[in-house]
Amino acid sequence: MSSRRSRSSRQTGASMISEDQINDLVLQLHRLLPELGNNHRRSGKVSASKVLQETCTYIRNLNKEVDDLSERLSQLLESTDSAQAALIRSLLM
Amino acid sequence: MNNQDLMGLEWTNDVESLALKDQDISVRARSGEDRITNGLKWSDDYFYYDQADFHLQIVPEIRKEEENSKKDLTLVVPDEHSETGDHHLHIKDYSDSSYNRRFLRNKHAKPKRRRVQILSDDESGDFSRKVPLVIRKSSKRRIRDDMMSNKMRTLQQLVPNCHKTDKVSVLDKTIEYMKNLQLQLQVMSIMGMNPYIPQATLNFGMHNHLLRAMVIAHGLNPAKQTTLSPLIAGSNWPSPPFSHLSFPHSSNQSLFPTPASSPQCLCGLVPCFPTMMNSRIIITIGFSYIISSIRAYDPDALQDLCVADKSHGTKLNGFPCKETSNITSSDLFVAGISKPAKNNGKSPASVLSAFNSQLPGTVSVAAMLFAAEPALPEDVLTKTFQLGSKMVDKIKDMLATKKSFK
Repeated sequence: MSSRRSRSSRQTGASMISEDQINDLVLQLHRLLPELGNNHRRSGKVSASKVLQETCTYIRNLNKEVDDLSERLSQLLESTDSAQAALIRSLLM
Repeated sequence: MNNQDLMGLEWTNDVESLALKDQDISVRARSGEDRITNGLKWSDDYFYYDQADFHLQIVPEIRKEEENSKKDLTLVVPDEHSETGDHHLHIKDYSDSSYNRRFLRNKHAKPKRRRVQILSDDESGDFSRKVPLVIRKSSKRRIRDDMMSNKMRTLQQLVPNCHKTDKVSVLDKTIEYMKNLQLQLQVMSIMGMNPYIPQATLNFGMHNHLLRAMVIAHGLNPAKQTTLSPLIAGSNWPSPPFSHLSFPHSSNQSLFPTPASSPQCLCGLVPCFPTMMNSRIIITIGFSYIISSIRAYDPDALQDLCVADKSHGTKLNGFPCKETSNITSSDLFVAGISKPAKNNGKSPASVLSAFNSQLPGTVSVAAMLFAAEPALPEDVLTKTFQLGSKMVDKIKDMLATKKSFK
């Protein structure tokens, strides 16, 4: 991570962020995304706007999943009545 | 009408009209065209004769620029005095610098050539056909840039604590956030589905360097063996300066490369996520630490798995567990499992409960899972942690050699 940060430091002199850095980051993002269509990543062909779009939807999905999971957790804990459950409940609430 | 000027030059088809040249007629047809043609650096010695039926261009001498000669352009000269459609000024390649040439063009001959307009005066030789294309390209680029900035803005809103607006940092933060979300989902799904979490296991291993450091950072007494108080403090979490803690990663063999590194960044981000789920995030951190440490190992795992046996008749605090040997991976992973790398289906229906029921003390999830006896089935481990089977074997080997540790 730190290496990536140091690489993303701005170029001295020019105030422009180089295209390469952005492309790099976009590629990384693309790797993180769940790939529904392509099993072999077409590294040369990713379009930045598409990647960003997918990122937005993916983050929303993940957030929703986290919310669902946590709600399920809390429901489970409500149902099970034991000392352990009480502990966990105190953790979560 | 300026046509009157040209009246004398009645067009005939015969060659004698070439004599026009000798008359040294330099007629500027119209003032409008003047402007344009000047911009085009036409020779002055030209005139053209416009008629409704045919298009004629008489170009006695054209001192053209080189660029002109290359193209076969048809220029439509906008002109108030006549229909533009009828005007063709057809430039051809005048390789011979001879006299007038006349090009009789039927106006229907090449209808395609009509459309081009002269747009700018200053483009020498770069005639009109290029100019609209250039404008189109730049507008496309502008549109694309607008879309990009729109998406950057939405990303910025989605990702918490993203205050800088430059592309690089937004993308940076997005990547980190996504990794953390994925990890969090994984841990939560592992932990969440099984309610049989015995009390002792929640003593999160004060022998663990990482956890101890975490605890110390909050001024809590690590010697206290109360199980949960250090972590309950999460609800009153100020902005914990996790970043300054030096995590002894070197001393820990990180079995899970990704979780080992990401707790660090998770911690860095905990103060940043202004969500209501701070305590939950802390739990996930705790679990990540446990996963990444192999300091302690309990060889005496009494109960590693507990899959609810729904077919059982009696119900004791929920469903009693199946026999360990009966657990198959199909129990643990239903179709449509949520694997962040593959699809976004539902979370696993029942997950490993990787906790020892009886013995207090340090519990290492990793050790429990990988070095337990009887050994957990390989595919379960592979699927849970999405490691290759080679990795699973390696971890098992590592854990086997560490049995002497405590």
